[in-house]
Order: sequence, then C-alpha cells, then structure tokens
Amino acid sequence: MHEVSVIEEIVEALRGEMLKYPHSRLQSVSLKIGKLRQFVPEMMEFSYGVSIQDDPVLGGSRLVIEEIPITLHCRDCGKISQVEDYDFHCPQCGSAQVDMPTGNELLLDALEITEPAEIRG
Amino acid sequence: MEVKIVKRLLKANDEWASRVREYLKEKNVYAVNFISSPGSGKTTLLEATSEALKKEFSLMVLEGDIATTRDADRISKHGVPAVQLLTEGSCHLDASLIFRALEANPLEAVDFLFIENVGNLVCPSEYDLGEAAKVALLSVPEGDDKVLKYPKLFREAQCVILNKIDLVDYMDFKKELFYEDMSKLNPHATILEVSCRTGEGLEAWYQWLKQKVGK
Repeated sequence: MHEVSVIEEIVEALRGEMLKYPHSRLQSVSLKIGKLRQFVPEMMEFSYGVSIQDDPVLGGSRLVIEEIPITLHCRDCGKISQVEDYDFHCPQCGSAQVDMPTGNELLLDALEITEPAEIRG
Repeated sequence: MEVKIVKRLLKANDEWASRVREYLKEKNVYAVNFISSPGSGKTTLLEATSEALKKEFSLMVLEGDIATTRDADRISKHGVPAVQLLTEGSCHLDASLIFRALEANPLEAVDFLFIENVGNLVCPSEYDLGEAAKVALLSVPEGDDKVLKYPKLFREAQCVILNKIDLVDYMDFKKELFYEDMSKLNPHATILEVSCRTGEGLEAWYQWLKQKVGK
C-alpha cells in the first residue's frame, strides 16, 4: 500500500506544477519506475484515479508508467548489460562486481498538458 | 504540450534518512533495519540478541507496528530500552518517524540501534531509514521461493537470516534453491542459518554484529 503515499506525493507535485500553466488541463503524467522497485501499476493507476477524480485541473488525466529495465555495469570488464532474471552477475564475464546504473528509478518524468487555446477549441 | 520534469519521488523520505544517518554517525551508533514477513521471528531474534549483547554493549530498540505495544513490551522485559512506533495503518516505517523518535529519545553512548520494521516484505524495502545495514529475515515455513519474489529486499540486505532452521526437516524447504537464488541476486550478502528457538547459529549472528563495531 506504499503506492498510495507515492500517489499523494505525485498529486501534490502536479498541483504545484500546474500553477505555472493557468487555464491549462493535465492530459497525462508519465512515471519511470525501475524493475527493482515494487510498485504495482494497477494499484498506482487506481489510486491516482481516485485522488484526481474531482480535481478541475487534473481530473480525467492518465497515469503512464514506463518500466526501466535493470542494467549492470561491470567493474571488471567495463561492459554494460541488461538483465532480465535478477541475476546480478555480468552476463559478459560472470563477475559479481557490478553497479546498477538503471533499474532503481522512481521518477516523475513528464507531463502532457492541454493548453488553453486547445481547450477552447 | 509536453513538459519535462524529472523529479525524484520519495525524496522527502531520503532527506529525513540522511538526517538520521548523520545523527547516528555523530553519535557513533550502528543501526540495523530488520525487515521480514509477520511471524518470521524478528522480535524473538531481538529478544535473544538483547540477552546476549546487553552486558557488553548498550542497545536501543525501535519497534514498528501498525498497532499495540506488544513488541516493545517483550523487549523491555529484557532490560533493554524499547520505543514502540505505531504507524496507524501504514505498512512501513519511514525516516521521519525514526528522526522524531530519536529526537524524543536521544542516543547517549548507545552502540547498536535495532529498528524492527512493520512485518512486510514489500513496502519497508522502499523506505531508507538511515540505517547502516538492512537485515532480512526469512523463516523456513514461509517457503524456499521467496528470495526472487521480493528481489529489492534480498538484493539490498547485507545479511540474510534464515530462521526456524530447526524445522527444515519437516517442511518442503529446498535450501539449494534458496542459496542458488541468493547467489544470483546478492552474492555479497552474509547468510546465517539460525533457530531462535534452539539457539542454533545465533553465535554467528552476534559475531556478525560485533565485527560491525570493530569488536
């Protein structure tokens, strides 16, 4: 249920951000979530929908979640590889001396906004 | 119109965690965040650890639960100060709760701060509490397949305690699978087989803690 607290944080950030665009409406918000993070997309979407339903600026907008794969940077052979099965060994040389440049993200990435002219149509 | 933001979420928690970490460093306290399912034996391990280490070290325990002071009461009986943190419904502790608890209960000459998180393998692993190490517990009755099902916790744990090892002959728990998954996911973790009931393996756990503070 930690999804709910993150959604609250997102909605608050969106309300602040949308103040910069008066008379505009939010269409969608995109998140980037690393594969190692444990956020259930359906629960995020449900919780988001409930939080924004009565909001004049955010209401009707969609939450778009992009999953970022786990990549490993090998400290021994220097190669960067993507891993699928949570095996934290370099697929190239087998070393366990790896860093994880991607896969642990939890980012509010971008907004898609309908501008006032488009709303008036 | 697309507006690029790129804002890190849970940043407020990370900032609280940094404050906790700085405070613990200043006070020279080694903090452990214990994470596991409900019923895997966190409190029982902390009771045994309290008894074993309280003469040589000064200890303090923060007990995270949704409700009741049962866990803190259990620890207090061993003569170790224990503070119950109630999350009132929330499934995890966060770093602001820890910071406030430490403000109300300053650590003077404490060697180890043990933080028992809310019983849950998922949510607590998303929140940095400012600890020096995460310790994950898994108990034999929970099953041998849990490591890869909860990869974030078992990847980030410095030490994984396989508890209730005395039951291994009565359960279909394949140790080979558990070790194979751990070596894939987190080959650097220390793995300790223990039984808090019989005392088996606990000495190795105490040694693991002691070497963390250079003893």
